[in-house]
Amino acid sequence: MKLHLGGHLNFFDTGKRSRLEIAVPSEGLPLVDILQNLNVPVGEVAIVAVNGELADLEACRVYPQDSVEVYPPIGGG
Amino acid sequence: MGYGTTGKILRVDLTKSVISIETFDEGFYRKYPGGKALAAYYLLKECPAGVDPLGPDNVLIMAAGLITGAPIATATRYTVAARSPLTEAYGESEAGGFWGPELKFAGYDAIIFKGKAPHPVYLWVHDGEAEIRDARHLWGREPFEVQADIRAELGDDLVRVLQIGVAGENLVRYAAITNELRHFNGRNGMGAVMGSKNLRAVAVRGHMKYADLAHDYPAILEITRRLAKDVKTHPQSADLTEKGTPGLVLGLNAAGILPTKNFKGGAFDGVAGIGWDSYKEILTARKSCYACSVRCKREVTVNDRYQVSPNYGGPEYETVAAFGSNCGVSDLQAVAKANELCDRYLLDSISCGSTVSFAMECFENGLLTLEDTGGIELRFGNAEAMLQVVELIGKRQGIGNLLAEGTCRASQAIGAGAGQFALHIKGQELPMHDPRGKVGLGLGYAISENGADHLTAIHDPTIANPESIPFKGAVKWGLKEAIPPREMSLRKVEAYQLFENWSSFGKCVGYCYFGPAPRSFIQAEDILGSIQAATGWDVDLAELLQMGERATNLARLFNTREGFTSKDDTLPERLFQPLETGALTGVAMPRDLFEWGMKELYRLKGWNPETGIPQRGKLDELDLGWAADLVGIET
Repeated sequence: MKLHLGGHLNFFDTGKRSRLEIAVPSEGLPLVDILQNLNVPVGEVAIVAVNGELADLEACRVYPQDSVEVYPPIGGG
Repeated sequence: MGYGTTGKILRVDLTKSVISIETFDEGFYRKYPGGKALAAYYLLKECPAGVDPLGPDNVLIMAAGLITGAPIATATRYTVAARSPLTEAYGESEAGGFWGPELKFAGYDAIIFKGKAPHPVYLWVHDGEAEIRDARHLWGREPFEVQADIRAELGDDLVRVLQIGVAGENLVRYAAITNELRHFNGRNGMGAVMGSKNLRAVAVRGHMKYADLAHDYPAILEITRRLAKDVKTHPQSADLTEKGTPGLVLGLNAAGILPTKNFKGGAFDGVAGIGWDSYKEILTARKSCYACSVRCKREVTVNDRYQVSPNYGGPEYETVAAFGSNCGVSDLQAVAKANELCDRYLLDSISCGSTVSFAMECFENGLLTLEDTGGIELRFGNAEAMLQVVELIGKRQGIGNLLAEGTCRASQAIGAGAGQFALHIKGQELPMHDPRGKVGLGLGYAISENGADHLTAIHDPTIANPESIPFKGAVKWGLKEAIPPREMSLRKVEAYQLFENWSSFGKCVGYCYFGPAPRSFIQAEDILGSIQAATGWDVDLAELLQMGERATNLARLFNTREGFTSKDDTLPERLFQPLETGALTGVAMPRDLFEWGMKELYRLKGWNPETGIPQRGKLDELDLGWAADLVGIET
């Protein structure tokens, strides 16, 4: 599964990686579990897009072929 | 020991070539602490009603904020204001950089220009002295050369130069002002006002320090040192250092609110070409404003499909979207070239990009022809055409002469339904944020006294999640609960009002939008502490917010006097229509809820809910009885 930690979310990952490849079993994994393993606080995630479609973080289950983007609240400027 | 200001304002009559100094006491600054507040005070008081924005009687004000010049990160801003040639309303634009702090170190909080010089001039302000100097040899030349020449003739490489370019000289209605070549008072055509006065530049140099101005400088230093550590560890400021505003592109695209092809869509199929991964390939340096450790400014260099000089910095998010997705252009090198052209001619890259996308849609719908464009195939995605048109606008040649008037006037000249493609509010083009995905921003766009402006308040997603870092920062300013981005409700209107005052306060004292929480890392207690340390005043957060509210009311009164009412506080029709691409496809701004929200907002502000005019009771509460009398508001 390809994961993009957008905005400042990559600062929570110990390696500050913004683009990651994550091994996911064929039956999938909850996205929340993956983010928690990366130390990304779930409360800081405002936008989740799976394969270009918006998704609900709590209900989101991701699979090996998915491309997932997560972003924090985006202010102006 | 002072209270953060110099207590002095410079007056320059360009017609008579006369310079004088005005002094003020502490009580004045507690009500009008600088920046927007000083500018609105003087514009309302001294700008004649009905003045021609490009005539000699327009009043041009440059005002630093109260905290401007403190070594605290993001305390760098100054305001330039006048009646806008783009909107004919209260005109204002803020910038960071180095000029605002240097003006104060040279001994002045603000400069007020009146009249028109008989030939091109520049003003030289240094250590309390000021003189008007000949600029005929600088007129028509590139900003890079002009800055170098001014420094050479003044014999000091540390002179800070604020200037216009050829677009300002040509009175392009959205001409910008720069300082240090890479910090911009972009919006509202303030560069054209300078051009109309034959004022090419204002050079400043001073040897005072903020320690000479502050009440308690050790306390300022204590906050400065603490924040210098926070800036590296706080996710929001660290992200601004790492990516700067161009980091917004991919997230807004995923959220379905990246303006695309003149706001028809909210996602761009060529987004990878303009996203952060592409930006990194041309990024050559990260730069800062005075004493600011956020360092959000970019510098790019391109020697490939285009040649882009690093001398003019690099495109911000607004520019990337305006010339990228909103023009259908997926080549970041072309976008960077458009940015460089805007910075060389000194055009507002938001209004310029929006005017080009407007013209592209007119062309694709047959309202502009090859004959009109001089043979340019001005279609979405045509980067070469886009760059040709930007140059023509700067020079006011060919189709550029029409487009130099902005989308509102150009659409009226074109006629035949072109108005539906002209996305402006009060005549100023929309910034690159779509209120269809964040409805509170729509209130801000509509009510802003200077036309569509994305910095009148915070953006809705900032306060949407109760567990998020920005929300926790917002609570300290008085926000009570989290609110979803697309909810229009009384609590959303109340939140908007709170953060409009927050934003306006920042513009008054000189804090950048990227300093205070909730948008960034400086928490409310440190903002308050810095103002208390600078001034010695026993202010609280409520008084700071009221400073912002007072300034907004002054600007609103300026517009009231010029005949603006609630009719002008609306959105372009396109925003009430559904988005055609992206995650929010089919979503529109709900018209009835928007109109309801505006009335609630007026009510909350103490303005007449039907006309939008400030009411006497509110003005008296803000100690603005004099302004109410001036505009003739009795009830």
